[in-house]
Amino acid sequence: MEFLKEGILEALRLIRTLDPDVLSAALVSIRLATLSTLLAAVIGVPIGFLLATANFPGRRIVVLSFNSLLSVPTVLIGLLGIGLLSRQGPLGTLNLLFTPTGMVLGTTILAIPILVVFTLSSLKALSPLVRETARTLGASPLMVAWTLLREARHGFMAAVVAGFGRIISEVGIAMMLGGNIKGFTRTLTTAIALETNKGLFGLGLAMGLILLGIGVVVNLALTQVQGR
Amino acid sequence: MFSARGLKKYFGREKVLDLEALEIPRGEVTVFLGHNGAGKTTILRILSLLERPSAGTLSMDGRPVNLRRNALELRRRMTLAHQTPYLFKGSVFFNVAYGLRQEGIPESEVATRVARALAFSDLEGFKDRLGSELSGGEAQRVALARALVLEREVLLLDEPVAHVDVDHINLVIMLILKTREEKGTTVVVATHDKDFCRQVADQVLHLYKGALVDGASDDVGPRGSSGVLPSSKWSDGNLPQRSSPETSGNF
Repeated sequence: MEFLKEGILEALRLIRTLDPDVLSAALVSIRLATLSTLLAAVIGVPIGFLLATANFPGRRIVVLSFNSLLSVPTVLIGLLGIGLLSRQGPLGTLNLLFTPTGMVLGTTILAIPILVVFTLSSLKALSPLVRETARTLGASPLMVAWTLLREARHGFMAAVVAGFGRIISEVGIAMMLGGNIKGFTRTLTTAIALETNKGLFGLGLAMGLILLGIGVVVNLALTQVQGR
Repeated sequence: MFSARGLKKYFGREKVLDLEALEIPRGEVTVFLGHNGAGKTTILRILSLLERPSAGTLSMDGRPVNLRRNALELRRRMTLAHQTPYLFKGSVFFNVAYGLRQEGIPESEVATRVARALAFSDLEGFKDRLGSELSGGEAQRVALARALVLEREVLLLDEPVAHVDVDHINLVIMLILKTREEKGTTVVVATHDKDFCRQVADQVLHLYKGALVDGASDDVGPRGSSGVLPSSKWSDGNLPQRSSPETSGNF
């Protein structure tokens, strides 16, 4: 217990003094999660919308695939990413391995199924009257789509938060595609893994608490938006 | 206004509508009267282009309805208020303004027209209330205001007084008659309420198991006819006494 107590006190000290290593890792994590979530939303929401509103051959298989991808191990995405981005890989010439861009690519792929499935399920949960009402009031197909997304916005916001949470808390992709380079690709999670291995429990715990704090802030922001 | 031939609708193998011929005249109130399951909602859904008929032809002003080619154009000439309306998340103002905004009407005009529609629907002071806070009857009046504010050529109403309290039934009747008289709107109503039907209808079409039947024995004729209140299982005896609808005022 003494060990844990010392760890917490060290964590509070590092947060209070704005330790540069902790701050750097936190900023990399926030930037990575924000950018990847936005990209995943841009790609995932239209796919989720299409799957919820259109009927086409193979639709069920596509839905099943995205559902299955929700539980894909992050190390597997990391492995595939290395295969693609390493010098011998098909995208090797882009020199994206061990760069923030490479990490964004990997974590975007991780978050897309979350955005797709949450968008799909929140749209499916809407009453069929939403679409009908919009149509009978003269909405164009584009405005009908916008109205559906607007009505399902709580589910959509939950999707964004879930995607953000999944990215900011993952280790495998950040470690394998980022390489844990200090001040460049080191995130809070990879830093926690590293510092804890080095025996610096307080530093690891401080970063863990910051990670938790970011999650709380994002959720509070969502609650505010939903409350409007 | 509407003309249909051989209109049929199947849900699976069940035939829910079978109309040999249907004529809905322009500028009149046509009421489809019938029990639950008679096909009233189905015909309204077909007329409002929400449902495709399984067979037959439907034309509007002599032009065949083609959902692929002219659905949006035709939909913008009419509007439907559902029996259990869906109010979008947001305020009553947002809901009533929705259709006007789809037409690109300037916000200043939207505000004026919405305020007027709310006033006529006895919804003054409801502008900022959330749709989720309203009772069934209030929601139905918001839906009616949302439809009326558009001043479309055709107004389709599915059981418009189903959830409306006794005090406001006359208001709904008045609004229907005024929009018909002042704007020349073609109003098509689906209802099982004979008393309500008697007060608004220019033409009554009796539906029974999806087909038009001779309803003379029901003693329900068009507005102004001297039908005797029938004592049927539709519980007319329990209906409240209603005064004649007030049709004066500015709408």
